Amino acid sequence: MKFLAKIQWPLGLLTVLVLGAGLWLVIHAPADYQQGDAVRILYVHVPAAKMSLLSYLFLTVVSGLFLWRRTETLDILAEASVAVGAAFTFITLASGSIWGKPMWGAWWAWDARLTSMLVLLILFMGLMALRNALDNPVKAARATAVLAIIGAVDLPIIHFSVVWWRTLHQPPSFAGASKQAITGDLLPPLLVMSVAFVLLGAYLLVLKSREVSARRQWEALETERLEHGHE
Amino acid sequence: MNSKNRRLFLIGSVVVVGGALLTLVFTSFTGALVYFYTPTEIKAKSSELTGHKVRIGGLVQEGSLVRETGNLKIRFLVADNVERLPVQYEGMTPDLFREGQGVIVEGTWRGGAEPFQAVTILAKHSEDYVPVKMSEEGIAKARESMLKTLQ
Repeated sequence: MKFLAKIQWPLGLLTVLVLGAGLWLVIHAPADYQQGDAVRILYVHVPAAKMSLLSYLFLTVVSGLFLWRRTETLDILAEASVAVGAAFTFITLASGSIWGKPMWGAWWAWDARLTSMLVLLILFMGLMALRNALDNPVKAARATAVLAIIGAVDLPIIHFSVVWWRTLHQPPSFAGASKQAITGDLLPPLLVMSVAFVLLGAYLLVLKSREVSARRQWEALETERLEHGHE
Repeated sequence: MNSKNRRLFLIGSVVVVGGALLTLVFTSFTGALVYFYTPTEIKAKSSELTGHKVRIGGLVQEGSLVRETGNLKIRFLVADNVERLPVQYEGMTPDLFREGQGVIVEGTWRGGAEPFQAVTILAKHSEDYVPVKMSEEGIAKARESMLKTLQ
């Protein structure tokens, strides 16, 4: 946690700078030939979606390591990544909805991509609920870690949904070196925004981890005080 | 149960539940998760789908879009590589609804003797994003991608 405290400020500053540069590019990028200015929503939507999946991937890894090593730091990182992931998933669904209404003509469609993404949000919220439902923190940590690993099944489903099934949602615009469907000046803002969102995710993870750690220390002190009476 | 057995039980149940979830996804959901039929598929399955609510996806055939004057009624053809299907609709259309673009129409399938009465129209976007000034070459490429997703 000391390490996290040290990198918090430099990381935050870097995030603000890259995010600022990204937003400048988003505002100055040309409009899409069909979508017009609505394409700018995707500069938030796509990076947020990538971060939702990345957060869950990170959660799965730390949960696995926690079940193996039983180190509290890993559990703190797991609890923090659930909150960060839920935020990014919500941003993904909300921004997608705002884009979908004018472009598709619908706020929501029950296709495979949208539904599997909603399942991810429910998973994140379920993990929060499960941790809060169990009084014993050790049991809560183990149970959420196990549920998190089971839930990882959703990750490949989200990723490949647009390839496996016919969906309303468009297929990926990048598929290896052979295919790149975003051209010209529309590309740089997406790349910079993606980097900015990775930094933002890391920064939020640092903040949340420190908060969780501080809260747990506080609770431990409280318990100790109650056990030893009022001296 | 001692702790070693309990852990074994835990790992076992994780594997069983995870496996069950995966099996569910790969078997029973696969058919239901197809968001729309193509005109070719709907004609092949016409009798079994009659009376059911369906979604049909394809390209709006170039030159087929007719807007009636004085109301919001439109008629057009939804086409894939092989078949085309006449569709009627009344109401607002989404921004991306244009000739030559992807579209998904929703309504009840009546056997195809008369034009398909769409209740909802959704525009389908391809994965291509092209700046305004590059649009000439981009349009051709976007159409190619759209046709690919319809196969």
